[in-house]
Amino acid sequence: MMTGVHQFTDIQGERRRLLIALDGRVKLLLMLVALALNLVAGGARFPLALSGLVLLTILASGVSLRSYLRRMLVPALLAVVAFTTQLFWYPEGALLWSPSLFGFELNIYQGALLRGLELGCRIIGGMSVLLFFSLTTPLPELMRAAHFFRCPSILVELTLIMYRYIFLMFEEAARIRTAQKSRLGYVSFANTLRSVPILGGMLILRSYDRAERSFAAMRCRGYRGVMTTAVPGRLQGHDWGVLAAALLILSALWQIR
Amino acid sequence: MWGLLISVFALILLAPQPALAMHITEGLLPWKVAGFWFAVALPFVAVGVWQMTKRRKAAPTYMPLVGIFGAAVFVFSCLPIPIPGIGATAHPAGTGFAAILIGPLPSVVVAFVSLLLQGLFLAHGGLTTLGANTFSMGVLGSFAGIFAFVVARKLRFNLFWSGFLAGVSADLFTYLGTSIALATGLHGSGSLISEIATIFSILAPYVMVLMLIEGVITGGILVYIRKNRPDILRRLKIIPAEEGK
Repeated sequence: MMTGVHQFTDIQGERRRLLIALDGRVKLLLMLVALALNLVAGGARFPLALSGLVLLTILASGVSLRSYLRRMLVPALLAVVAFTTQLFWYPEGALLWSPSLFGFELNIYQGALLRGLELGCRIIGGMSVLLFFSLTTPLPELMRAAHFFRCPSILVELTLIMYRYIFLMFEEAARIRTAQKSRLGYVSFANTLRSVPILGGMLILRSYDRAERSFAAMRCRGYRGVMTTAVPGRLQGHDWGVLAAALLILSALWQIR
Repeated sequence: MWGLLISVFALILLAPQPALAMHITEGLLPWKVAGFWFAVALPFVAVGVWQMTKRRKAAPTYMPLVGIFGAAVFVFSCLPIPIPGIGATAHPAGTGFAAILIGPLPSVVVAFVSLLLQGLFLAHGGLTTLGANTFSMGVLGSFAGIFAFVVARKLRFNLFWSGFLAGVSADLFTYLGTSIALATGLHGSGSLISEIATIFSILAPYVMVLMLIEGVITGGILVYIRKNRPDILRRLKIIPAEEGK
Protein backbone atom coordinates (compact mmCIF):
# COMPACT_ATOMS: atom_id res chain seq x y z
CA MET A 1 0.00 0.00 0.00
CA MET A 2 2.56 2.59 1.00
CA THR A 3 5.43 1.23 -1.03
CA GLY A 4 6.73 2.74 -4.23
CA VAL A 5 5.71 6.35 -3.94
CA HIS A 6 6.77 6.52 -0.31
CA GLN A 7 10.02 4.64 -0.77
CA PHE A 8 12.75 6.87 0.58
CA THR A 9 15.32 7.51 -2.10
CA ASP A 10 18.23 7.83 0.30
CA ILE A 11 18.13 4.07 0.91
CA GLN A 12 19.61 3.80 -2.55
CA GLY A 13 22.22 6.31 -1.46
CA GLU A 14 23.80 3.60 0.66
CA ARG A 15 24.72 1.77 -2.53
CA ARG A 16 26.27 4.64 -4.46
CA ARG A 17 29.93 4.05 -3.76
CA LEU A 18 31.30 6.74 -6.05
CA LEU A 19 29.42 9.61 -4.48
CA ILE A 20 28.84 8.16 -1.03
CA ALA A 21 32.56 8.56 -0.42
CA LEU A 22 32.13 12.32 -0.70
CA ASP A 23 31.68 14.16 2.59
CA GLY A 24 28.06 15.05 3.46
CA ARG A 25 29.03 18.66 4.21
CA VAL A 26 30.33 19.10 0.67
CA LYS A 27 27.17 17.59 -0.81
CA LEU A 28 24.94 19.72 1.41
CA LEU A 29 26.83 22.88 0.50
CA LEU A 30 26.73 22.05 -3.21
CA MET A 31 23.03 21.28 -3.06
CA LEU A 32 22.23 24.61 -1.38
CA VAL A 33 24.39 26.55 -3.87
CA ALA A 34 22.83 24.73 -6.85
CA LEU A 35 19.28 25.30 -5.57
CA ALA A 36 19.98 28.98 -4.91
CA LEU A 37 21.47 29.47 -8.38
CA ASN A 38 18.57 27.60 -9.94
CA LEU A 39 16.19 30.00 -8.25
CA VAL A 40 17.95 33.26 -9.07
CA ALA A 41 19.32 32.44 -12.54
CA GLY A 42 16.19 33.41 -14.47
CA GLY A 43 15.37 32.01 -17.90
CA ALA A 44 15.36 28.36 -18.89
CA ARG A 45 18.98 27.75 -19.87
CA PHE A 46 20.58 27.39 -16.44
CA PRO A 47 17.92 25.04 -14.97
CA LEU A 48 17.99 22.89 -18.12
CA ALA A 49 21.80 22.74 -18.13
CA LEU A 50 21.73 21.92 -14.41
CA SER A 51 19.27 19.07 -14.86
CA GLY A 52 21.35 17.76 -17.77
CA LEU A 53 24.47 17.83 -15.61
CA VAL A 54 22.65 16.08 -12.77
CA LEU A 55 21.37 13.41 -15.14
CA LEU A 56 24.87 12.68 -16.42
CA THR A 57 26.33 12.55 -12.90
CA ILE A 58 23.55 10.32 -11.65
CA LEU A 59 24.00 7.91 -14.55
CA ALA A 60 27.75 7.91 -14.03
CA SER A 61 27.26 6.99 -10.38
CA GLY A 62 25.23 3.92 -11.27
CA VAL A 63 21.63 5.00 -10.71
CA SER A 64 19.33 3.45 -13.28
CA LEU A 65 17.80 5.90 -15.75
CA ARG A 66 14.40 4.30 -15.23
CA SER A 67 14.49 4.82 -11.48
CA TYR A 68 15.52 8.46 -11.92
CA LEU A 69 12.85 9.17 -14.55
CA ARG A 70 10.17 7.48 -12.44
CA ARG A 71 11.04 9.83 -9.59
CA MET A 72 11.04 12.82 -11.93
CA LEU A 73 7.61 12.02 -13.37
CA VAL A 74 5.57 13.84 -10.73
CA PRO A 75 7.74 17.01 -10.74
CA ALA A 76 7.56 16.98 -14.55
CA LEU A 77 3.74 16.85 -14.41
CA LEU A 78 3.71 19.70 -11.90
CA ALA A 79 6.03 21.67 -14.17
CA VAL A 80 3.55 21.23 -17.04
CA VAL A 81 0.67 22.37 -14.79
CA ALA A 82 2.67 25.44 -13.69
CA PHE A 83 3.52 26.16 -17.33
CA THR A 84 -0.18 25.95 -18.31
CA THR A 85 -1.30 28.33 -15.57
CA GLN A 86 1.21 30.95 -16.70
CA LEU A 87 -0.13 30.83 -20.26
CA PHE A 88 -3.41 32.27 -19.05
CA TRP A 89 -2.34 34.37 -16.08
CA TYR A 90 0.32 36.44 -17.71
CA PRO A 91 -1.05 38.18 -20.80
CA GLU A 92 2.02 40.28 -21.56
CA GLY A 93 4.26 40.75 -24.59
CA ALA A 94 3.40 40.09 -28.22
CA LEU A 95 0.37 38.00 -29.08
CA LEU A 96 1.71 34.72 -30.48
CA TRP A 97 -1.33 32.58 -31.06
CA SER A 98 -5.04 33.07 -30.83
CA PRO A 99 -6.79 29.74 -31.26
CA SER A 100 -10.55 29.46 -31.06
CA LEU A 101 -12.14 26.94 -28.70
CA PHE A 102 -15.90 26.37 -28.95
CA GLY A 103 -16.32 29.90 -30.22
CA PHE A 104 -14.13 31.46 -27.50
CA GLU A 105 -10.76 32.97 -28.30
CA LEU A 106 -7.67 31.97 -26.34
CA ASN A 107 -4.77 34.37 -26.45
CA ILE A 108 -1.26 33.10 -25.88
CA TYR A 109 1.31 35.84 -25.33
CA GLN A 110 5.07 35.73 -25.67
CA GLY A 111 5.63 36.90 -22.09
CA ALA A 112 3.39 34.12 -20.77
CA LEU A 113 5.17 31.49 -22.82
CA LEU A 114 8.61 32.60 -21.60
CA ARG A 115 7.48 32.86 -18.01
CA GLY A 116 5.79 29.46 -18.12
CA LEU A 117 8.87 27.93 -19.67
CA GLU A 118 11.12 29.49 -17.03
CA LEU A 119 8.90 28.25 -14.24
CA GLY A 120 8.63 24.72 -15.64
CA CYS A 121 12.40 24.48 -16.17
CA ARG A 122 13.08 25.85 -12.69
CA ILE A 123 10.93 23.08 -11.20
CA ILE A 124 12.74 20.42 -13.25
CA GLY A 125 16.16 21.89 -12.38
CA GLY A 126 15.40 22.15 -8.66
CA MET A 127 13.86 18.70 -8.38
CA SER A 128 16.74 17.07 -10.24
CA VAL A 129 19.21 18.64 -7.78
CA LEU A 130 17.15 17.36 -4.84
CA LEU A 131 16.93 13.90 -6.37
CA PHE A 132 20.67 13.85 -7.00
CA PHE A 133 21.27 14.68 -3.37
CA SER A 134 18.79 12.16 -2.02
CA LEU A 135 19.94 9.37 -4.31
CA THR A 136 23.52 9.76 -3.10
CA THR A 137 23.19 10.83 0.56
CA PRO A 138 21.82 8.79 3.45
CA LEU A 139 19.99 10.85 6.07
CA PRO A 140 22.41 10.21 8.97
CA GLU A 141 25.16 11.73 6.84
CA LEU A 142 23.00 14.77 6.14
CA MET A 143 22.29 15.14 9.86
CA ARG A 144 25.99 14.96 10.72
CA ALA A 145 26.54 17.77 8.22
CA ALA A 146 23.57 19.73 9.62
CA HIS A 147 25.02 19.32 13.14
CA PHE A 148 28.38 20.59 11.89
CA PHE A 149 26.68 23.69 10.40
CA ARG A 150 25.15 24.44 13.85
CA CYS A 151 21.60 23.31 13.09
CA PRO A 152 19.71 23.18 16.46
CA SER A 153 20.36 19.83 18.13
CA ILE A 154 16.65 19.31 18.77
CA LEU A 155 15.92 19.37 15.04
CA VAL A 156 18.73 16.90 14.33
CA GLU A 157 17.55 14.62 17.13
CA LEU A 158 13.88 14.80 16.11
CA THR A 159 14.76 14.09 12.47
CA LEU A 160 16.88 11.08 13.42
CA ILE A 161 14.23 9.62 15.74
CA MET A 162 11.43 10.18 13.21
CA TYR A 163 13.51 8.74 10.39
CA ARG A 164 14.40 5.71 12.51
CA TYR A 165 10.76 4.98 13.30
CA ILE A 166 9.05 5.91 10.03
CA PHE A 167 10.10 2.61 8.45
CA LEU A 168 8.94 0.58 11.45
CA MET A 169 5.65 2.46 11.43
CA PHE A 170 5.18 1.86 7.71
CA GLU A 171 5.66 -1.86 8.30
CA GLU A 172 3.34 -1.72 11.30
CA ALA A 173 0.69 0.13 9.28
CA ALA A 174 1.01 -2.34 6.41
CA ARG A 175 0.54 -5.27 8.82
CA ILE A 176 -2.51 -3.69 10.45
CA ARG A 177 -3.99 -2.85 7.07
CA THR A 178 -3.49 -6.40 5.79
CA ALA A 179 -5.16 -7.74 8.94
CA GLN A 180 -8.05 -5.31 8.46
CA LYS A 181 -8.42 -6.27 4.81
CA SER A 182 -8.55 -9.96 5.69
CA ARG A 183 -11.48 -9.07 7.98
CA LEU A 184 -13.30 -7.25 5.17
CA GLY A 185 -11.97 -3.80 5.95
CA TYR A 186 -11.72 -1.24 3.13
CA VAL A 187 -14.38 -2.98 1.01
CA SER A 188 -16.33 0.23 0.47
CA PHE A 189 -15.85 3.94 1.04
CA ALA A 190 -17.93 3.90 4.23
CA ASN A 191 -15.99 0.89 5.43
CA THR A 192 -12.70 2.65 4.63
CA LEU A 193 -13.81 5.59 6.78
CA ARG A 194 -14.28 3.15 9.66
CA SER A 195 -11.07 1.24 9.00
CA VAL A 196 -8.64 4.17 8.67
CA PRO A 197 -9.32 5.67 12.14
CA ILE A 198 -8.81 2.23 13.68
CA LEU A 199 -5.49 1.92 11.85
CA GLY A 200 -4.48 5.43 12.93
CA GLY A 201 -5.56 4.78 16.51
CA MET A 202 -3.67 1.50 16.67
CA LEU A 203 -0.58 3.21 15.28
CA ILE A 204 -0.75 5.84 18.01
CA LEU A 205 -1.26 3.24 20.75
CA ARG A 206 1.64 1.15 19.51
CA SER A 207 3.86 4.18 19.00
CA TYR A 208 3.16 5.33 22.56
CA ASP A 209 4.18 1.97 23.97
CA ARG A 210 7.15 1.84 21.62
CA ALA A 211 8.24 5.32 22.79
CA GLU A 212 8.34 4.10 26.39
CA ARG A 213 10.32 1.00 25.44
CA SER A 214 12.68 3.04 23.27
CA PHE A 215 13.30 5.51 26.06
CA ALA A 216 14.15 2.67 28.44
CA ALA A 217 16.52 1.20 25.82
CA MET A 218 18.10 4.60 25.11
CA ARG A 219 18.57 5.22 28.83
CA CYS A 220 20.39 1.90 29.14
CA ARG A 221 22.76 3.17 26.46
CA GLY A 222 23.48 6.39 28.31
CA TYR A 223 20.76 8.71 26.98
CA ARG A 224 20.11 11.56 29.44
CA GLY A 225 17.80 13.72 27.33
CA VAL A 226 20.24 14.72 24.60
CA MET A 227 21.54 12.47 21.83
CA THR A 228 25.25 12.56 21.13
CA THR A 229 26.14 13.02 17.48
CA ALA A 230 29.49 12.09 15.97
CA VAL A 231 31.32 15.23 14.91
CA PRO A 232 32.68 14.84 11.38
CA GLY A 233 36.44 15.23 11.01
CA ARG A 234 38.34 17.55 8.69
CA LEU A 235 37.53 17.47 5.00
CA GLN A 236 39.83 15.23 2.96
CA GLY A 237 41.79 16.41 -0.05
CA HIS A 238 39.43 14.76 -2.52
CA ASP A 239 36.45 16.51 -0.85
CA TRP A 240 38.07 19.91 -1.40
CA GLY A 241 38.90 18.90 -4.95
CA VAL A 242 35.33 17.84 -5.76
CA LEU A 243 33.95 20.97 -4.08
CA ALA A 244 36.20 23.24 -6.15
CA ALA A 245 35.47 21.36 -9.38
CA ALA A 246 31.72 21.39 -8.79
CA LEU A 247 31.73 25.12 -7.98
CA LEU A 248 33.71 25.75 -11.16
CA ILE A 249 31.21 23.77 -13.22
CA LEU A 250 28.30 25.62 -11.60
CA SER A 251 29.92 28.97 -12.33
CA ALA A 252 30.48 27.88 -15.94
CA LEU A 253 26.79 26.97 -16.19
CA TRP A 254 25.95 30.33 -14.65
CA GLN A 255 27.74 32.07 -17.51
CA ILE A 256 25.41 30.52 -20.11
CA ARG A 257 22.21 31.51 -18.32
CA MET B 1 -12.80 32.31 -17.93
CA TRP B 2 -11.35 29.87 -20.46
CA GLY B 3 -7.97 30.28 -18.85
CA LEU B 4 -9.43 29.18 -15.54
CA LEU B 5 -11.21 26.22 -17.13
CA ILE B 6 -8.09 25.07 -18.90
CA SER B 7 -6.07 25.46 -15.70
CA VAL B 8 -8.67 23.29 -13.93
CA PHE B 9 -8.51 20.78 -16.73
CA ALA B 10 -4.72 20.71 -16.64
CA LEU B 11 -4.72 20.23 -12.89
CA ILE B 12 -7.24 17.41 -12.99
CA LEU B 13 -5.69 15.74 -16.00
CA LEU B 14 -2.08 16.03 -15.04
CA ALA B 15 -2.18 15.87 -11.28
CA PRO B 16 -4.80 13.27 -10.45
CA GLN B 17 -3.41 12.98 -6.92
CA PRO B 18 -4.85 16.03 -5.13
CA ALA B 19 -2.42 15.39 -2.32
CA LEU B 20 0.33 16.61 -4.62
CA ALA B 21 -1.21 20.04 -4.43
CA MET B 22 -0.70 20.04 -0.66
CA HIS B 23 3.04 20.72 -0.92
CA ILE B 24 4.49 23.33 -3.21
CA THR B 25 7.15 21.75 -5.35
CA GLU B 26 10.80 22.80 -5.52
CA GLY B 27 11.48 25.74 -7.85
CA LEU B 28 7.92 26.95 -8.08
CA LEU B 29 8.42 30.04 -5.95
CA PRO B 30 10.73 32.87 -7.04
CA TRP B 31 13.57 33.51 -4.57
CA LYS B 32 12.02 36.65 -3.06
CA VAL B 33 8.71 34.89 -2.41
CA ALA B 34 10.47 31.79 -1.08
CA GLY B 35 12.50 34.01 1.25
CA PHE B 36 9.38 35.81 2.42
CA TRP B 37 7.69 32.52 3.39
CA PHE B 38 10.81 31.39 5.23
CA ALA B 39 10.76 34.65 7.17
CA VAL B 40 7.10 34.04 8.06
CA ALA B 41 7.46 30.37 9.04
CA LEU B 42 10.85 30.26 10.76
CA PRO B 43 9.86 32.25 13.88
CA PHE B 44 7.19 29.61 14.61
CA VAL B 45 9.74 26.83 14.11
CA ALA B 46 12.22 28.69 16.34
CA VAL B 47 9.69 29.14 19.15
CA GLY B 48 8.67 25.49 18.73
CA VAL B 49 12.30 24.39 19.03
CA TRP B 50 12.71 26.58 22.13
CA GLN B 51 9.59 25.10 23.72
CA MET B 52 10.68 21.56 22.91
CA THR B 53 14.15 22.22 24.34
CA LYS B 54 12.55 23.36 27.58
CA ARG B 55 10.30 20.31 27.74
CA ARG B 56 13.18 17.98 26.91
CA LYS B 57 15.11 19.37 29.87
CA ALA B 58 12.10 18.87 32.16
CA ALA B 59 11.32 15.32 30.95
CA PRO B 60 13.91 13.17 29.17
CA THR B 61 11.09 10.95 27.82
CA TYR B 62 9.78 13.90 25.80
CA MET B 63 11.92 13.57 22.66
CA PRO B 64 11.40 9.82 22.06
CA LEU B 65 7.67 10.38 22.54
CA VAL B 66 7.42 13.34 20.15
CA GLY B 67 9.74 11.68 17.64
CA ILE B 68 7.76 8.44 17.55
CA PHE B 69 4.42 10.25 17.53
CA GLY B 70 5.82 12.37 14.71
CA ALA B 71 6.76 9.21 12.80
CA ALA B 72 3.28 7.76 13.40
CA VAL B 73 1.59 10.95 12.17
CA PHE B 74 3.94 10.98 9.15
CA VAL B 75 2.90 7.42 8.29
CA PHE B 76 -0.75 8.20 9.01
CA SER B 77 -0.50 11.18 6.64
CA CYS B 78 0.67 8.81 3.88
CA LEU B 79 -2.41 6.58 4.09
CA PRO B 80 -4.13 6.54 0.72
CA ILE B 81 -7.85 7.21 0.92
CA PRO B 82 -9.94 6.91 -2.25
CA ILE B 83 -12.13 9.96 -2.93
CA PRO B 84 -15.52 8.79 -4.19
CA GLY B 85 -16.64 10.14 -7.56
CA ILE B 86 -13.23 11.53 -8.47
CA GLY B 87 -11.31 8.31 -8.85
CA ALA B 88 -8.23 9.68 -7.13
CA THR B 89 -6.72 9.05 -3.74
CA ALA B 90 -5.86 11.64 -1.14
CA HIS B 91 -3.96 11.56 2.12
CA PRO B 92 -4.71 13.34 5.40
CA ALA B 93 -2.55 16.30 6.42
CA GLY B 94 -2.30 15.04 10.00
CA THR B 95 -1.20 18.40 11.45
CA GLY B 96 -4.49 19.04 13.25
CA PHE B 97 -4.19 15.66 14.89
CA ALA B 98 -0.51 16.21 15.72
CA ALA B 99 -1.36 19.59 17.29
CA ILE B 100 -3.93 17.91 19.54
CA LEU B 101 -1.45 15.22 20.61
CA ILE B 102 1.72 17.23 21.19
CA GLY B 103 0.66 20.90 21.06
CA PRO B 104 0.67 23.40 18.18
CA LEU B 105 4.27 24.64 18.35
CA PRO B 106 5.91 21.19 18.55
CA SER B 107 3.50 20.19 15.78
CA VAL B 108 4.95 23.00 13.62
CA VAL B 109 8.44 21.58 14.25
CA VAL B 110 7.27 18.02 13.46
CA ALA B 111 5.63 19.33 10.25
CA PHE B 112 8.88 21.14 9.36
CA VAL B 113 10.89 17.92 9.78
CA SER B 114 8.27 15.85 7.92
CA LEU B 115 8.27 18.32 5.04
CA LEU B 116 12.06 18.29 4.98
CA LEU B 117 12.07 14.48 4.78
CA GLN B 118 9.34 14.47 2.13
CA GLY B 119 11.05 17.18 0.11
CA LEU B 120 14.46 15.54 0.23
CA PHE B 121 13.62 11.88 0.01
CA LEU B 122 10.15 11.51 -1.49
CA ALA B 123 10.34 14.17 -4.25
CA HIS B 124 7.25 15.68 -2.65
CA GLY B 125 7.59 19.38 -1.88
CA GLY B 126 11.03 20.95 -1.86
CA LEU B 127 13.75 22.75 0.03
CA THR B 128 13.38 26.33 -1.17
CA THR B 129 9.62 25.96 -0.75
CA LEU B 130 10.01 24.55 2.77
CA GLY B 131 9.09 27.91 4.31
CA ALA B 132 5.84 28.22 2.36
CA ASN B 133 4.93 24.58 2.98
CA THR B 134 5.73 24.86 6.69
CA PHE B 135 3.58 27.96 6.93
CA SER B 136 0.54 26.41 5.22
CA MET B 137 0.72 22.90 6.62
CA GLY B 138 2.61 23.36 9.87
CA VAL B 139 1.60 26.79 11.14
CA LEU B 140 -1.91 27.24 9.71
CA GLY B 141 -2.82 23.55 9.92
CA SER B 142 -1.64 23.13 13.51
CA PHE B 143 -3.07 26.35 14.90
CA ALA B 144 -6.39 26.04 13.05
CA GLY B 145 -6.69 22.44 14.26
CA ILE B 146 -5.92 23.11 17.90
CA PHE B 147 -8.06 26.27 17.95
CA ALA B 148 -11.09 24.39 16.60
CA PHE B 149 -10.49 21.52 19.04
CA VAL B 150 -10.18 23.75 22.12
CA VAL B 151 -13.21 25.85 21.17
CA ALA B 152 -15.30 22.74 20.47
CA ARG B 153 -14.31 21.20 23.82
CA LYS B 154 -15.17 24.44 25.62
CA LEU B 155 -18.57 24.37 23.88
CA ARG B 156 -18.95 20.84 25.28
CA PHE B 157 -18.84 19.04 21.95
CA ASN B 158 -18.00 15.38 22.41
CA LEU B 159 -14.55 14.05 21.53
CA PHE B 160 -15.50 12.84 18.06
CA TRP B 161 -17.01 16.15 16.94
CA SER B 162 -14.18 18.14 18.51
CA GLY B 163 -11.67 16.00 16.60
CA PHE B 164 -13.82 16.26 13.49
CA LEU B 165 -13.77 20.06 13.62
CA ALA B 166 -10.03 20.06 14.27
CA GLY B 167 -9.41 17.85 11.22
CA VAL B 168 -11.74 19.91 9.02
CA SER B 169 -10.25 23.26 9.96
CA ALA B 170 -6.64 22.02 9.79
CA ASP B 171 -7.22 20.74 6.27
CA LEU B 172 -9.16 23.80 5.16
CA PHE B 173 -6.52 26.21 6.41
CA THR B 174 -3.68 24.11 5.03
CA TYR B 175 -5.13 24.34 1.53
CA LEU B 176 -6.01 27.99 2.01
CA GLY B 177 -2.40 28.66 3.00
CA THR B 178 -1.18 26.63 0.02
CA SER B 179 -3.43 28.67 -2.27
CA ILE B 180 -2.02 31.91 -0.87
CA ALA B 181 1.57 30.72 -1.19
CA LEU B 182 0.95 29.36 -4.70
CA ALA B 183 -0.69 32.61 -5.77
CA THR B 184 2.30 34.62 -4.54
CA GLY B 185 4.54 32.35 -6.64
CA LEU B 186 2.43 32.06 -9.80
CA HIS B 187 1.21 35.64 -9.57
CA GLY B 188 0.45 36.99 -13.03
CA SER B 189 -0.80 40.41 -14.02
CA GLY B 190 -4.15 39.99 -12.23
CA SER B 191 -4.83 40.85 -8.60
CA LEU B 192 -3.40 38.56 -5.94
CA ILE B 193 -6.79 38.10 -4.29
CA SER B 194 -8.44 36.94 -7.51
CA GLU B 195 -5.60 34.48 -8.11
CA ILE B 196 -5.86 33.10 -4.58
CA ALA B 197 -9.60 32.67 -5.23
CA THR B 198 -8.90 30.98 -8.57
CA ILE B 199 -6.40 28.53 -7.09
CA PHE B 200 -8.62 27.77 -4.12
CA SER B 201 -11.61 27.26 -6.41
CA ILE B 202 -9.53 24.79 -8.45
CA LEU B 203 -8.62 22.89 -5.28
CA ALA B 204 -12.05 23.31 -3.66
CA PRO B 205 -13.76 20.16 -4.99
CA TYR B 206 -10.97 18.04 -3.54
CA VAL B 207 -10.57 20.08 -0.39
CA MET B 208 -14.25 19.90 0.53
CA VAL B 209 -14.23 16.11 0.35
CA LEU B 210 -10.79 15.76 1.84
CA MET B 211 -11.45 17.93 4.87
CA LEU B 212 -14.59 15.96 5.73
CA ILE B 213 -12.61 12.72 5.42
CA GLU B 214 -9.82 14.14 7.58
CA GLY B 215 -12.40 15.28 10.14
CA VAL B 216 -13.99 11.84 10.36
CA ILE B 217 -10.58 10.19 10.66
CA THR B 218 -9.27 12.60 13.32
CA GLY B 219 -12.44 12.25 15.40
CA GLY B 220 -12.43 8.48 14.87
CA ILE B 221 -8.84 8.08 16.04
CA LEU B 222 -9.47 10.09 19.21
CA VAL B 223 -12.55 8.01 20.02
CA TYR B 224 -10.62 4.80 19.33
CA ILE B 225 -7.81 5.84 21.69
CA ARG B 226 -10.25 6.87 24.42
CA LYS B 227 -12.04 3.55 24.12
CA ASN B 228 -8.88 1.47 24.31
CA ARG B 229 -6.27 3.52 26.18
CA PRO B 230 -7.85 6.60 27.79
CA ASP B 231 -4.78 6.94 30.01
CA ILE B 232 -2.80 8.20 26.99
CA LEU B 233 -5.29 11.01 26.35
CA ARG B 234 -5.37 11.86 30.05
CA ARG B 235 -1.58 11.95 30.26
CA LEU B 236 -1.41 14.21 27.21
CA LYS B 237 -4.13 16.39 28.83
CA ILE B 238 -6.45 15.95 25.84
CA ILE B 239 -9.28 14.82 28.08
CA PRO B 240 -9.78 15.71 31.76
CA ALA B 241 -8.65 13.26 34.43
CA GLU B 242 -12.17 12.08 35.20
CA GLU B 243 -13.20 11.42 31.57
CA GLY B 244 -12.96 7.94 30.08
CA LYS B 245 -12.69 6.13 33.43
